[in-house]
Amino acid sequence: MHADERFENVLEAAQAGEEWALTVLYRRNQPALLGYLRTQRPVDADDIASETWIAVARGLRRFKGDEEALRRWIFTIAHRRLLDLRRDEFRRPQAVSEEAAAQAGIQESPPAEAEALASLATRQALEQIASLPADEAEVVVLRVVAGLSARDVAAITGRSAGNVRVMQHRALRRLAKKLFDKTFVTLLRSLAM
Amino acid sequence: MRPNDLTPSAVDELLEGSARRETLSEEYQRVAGTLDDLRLLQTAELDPLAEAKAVQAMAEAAGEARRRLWRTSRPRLVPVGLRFALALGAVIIVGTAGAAVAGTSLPGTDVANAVFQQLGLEPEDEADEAADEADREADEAEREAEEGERDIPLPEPAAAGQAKAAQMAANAAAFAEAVRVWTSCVRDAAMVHESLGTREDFDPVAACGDHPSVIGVGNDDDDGDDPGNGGGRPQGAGPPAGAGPPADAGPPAGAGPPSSAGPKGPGSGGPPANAGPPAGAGPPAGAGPPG
Repeated sequence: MHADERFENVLEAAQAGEEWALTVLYRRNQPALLGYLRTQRPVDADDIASETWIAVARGLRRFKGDEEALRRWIFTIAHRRLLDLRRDEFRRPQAVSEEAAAQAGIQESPPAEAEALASLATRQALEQIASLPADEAEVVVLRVVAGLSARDVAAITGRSAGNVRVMQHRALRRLAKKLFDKTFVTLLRSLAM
Repeated sequence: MRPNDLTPSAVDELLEGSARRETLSEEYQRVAGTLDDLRLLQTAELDPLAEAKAVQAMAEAAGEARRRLWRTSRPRLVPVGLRFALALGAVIIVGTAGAAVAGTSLPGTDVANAVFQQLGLEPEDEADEAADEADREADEAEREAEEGERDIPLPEPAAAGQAKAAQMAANAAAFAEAVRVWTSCVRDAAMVHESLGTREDFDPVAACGDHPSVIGVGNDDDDGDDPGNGGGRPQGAGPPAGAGPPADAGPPAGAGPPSSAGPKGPGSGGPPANAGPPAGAGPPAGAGPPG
């Protein structure tokens, strides 16, 4: 790995196509990106992440900004890729029904690599977040995992900052209720036993 | 803090991981714990093999993007360079040819020679000497020719031509002067006629006489064989343009009668100044009497 990993130098080298610099950018952003995509598209999160990185590499020469701006840009690309996929699926509904998919052994579960990525606690947290409505889960993940501000999330998702604040408020209240209900059910079960 | 007490700042603190647990209710302590677990994704270990593949793909994509940029910009660069090279080559060829024709050196040759002389090379000494010798011979031949011209009498046909040219020039001057006087007369007469307000049409011939071309001013060659010579021609039968004598034998530019001031003939006015009749020639087309 290169000695000088200040962002300006890394970016300059990455724009010149240096592999060490691309590796640095990948390592700094891939975990959050993958976590975000896993809450949105557990099955093909890795594929979308790869496509996102290739798009980043193609446009990196034109990028100008700091590390926060780069992270914002990466998540913007990923978000748009997700929208494209959803749009394609809406236009071309799957011919194979869920039942047939289950018979064929296809299940809506993260791949083994992604499974290995997260610890048990992280996986449980992802499950809790995934139980939220998709747009609320996306806002929470972008704020928590990607570490972006409400304004950045608003810019990425194409919403207003006020709308993002409302959504994150609702998401946390819903999450608190779910956790309380889960705890309550667990307590009742333990008492019953 | 109860679930209904969740303030916007508390939401931000929870999401940013800066909330103090002791200030939170039990529900939101669990929420904070879940979000902390989620935050671990930021530092998760990556699969080295997947990382290597991804970086390789990124490097290839970046290289392809650079090549595409070069391919898209090359068509603009190449014609510019080609045009510059062609222009430079044309300038060199034309300059060299021009210098060869004129027998002089190129503008930068003196500087180049000075540089070569400073370097002790002096590559053009022999060529310069040959050129100087040729110049001397040419000057000598020219001088001899000039001296010879003074002594050699003109041949008979040339002398006759010179005399005729002088006569034609005198005729042209006389014709031009006559036209000028006639035009001035007509202008004054027309002014007077208009100021009087008479109903009769203005007749320039009655006021100032015939046009000099009708009279034949400046025309002492009445053998009638010259085109446009001899008392006018039928309307529209004038010589075609360029069929008259040489232009330098005609009246000076602007000496032709203006179309508005021409005599009232059936024609459509006088010829343009530079197309006027030559010295000693007949009237311009359309200015003569009806055929």
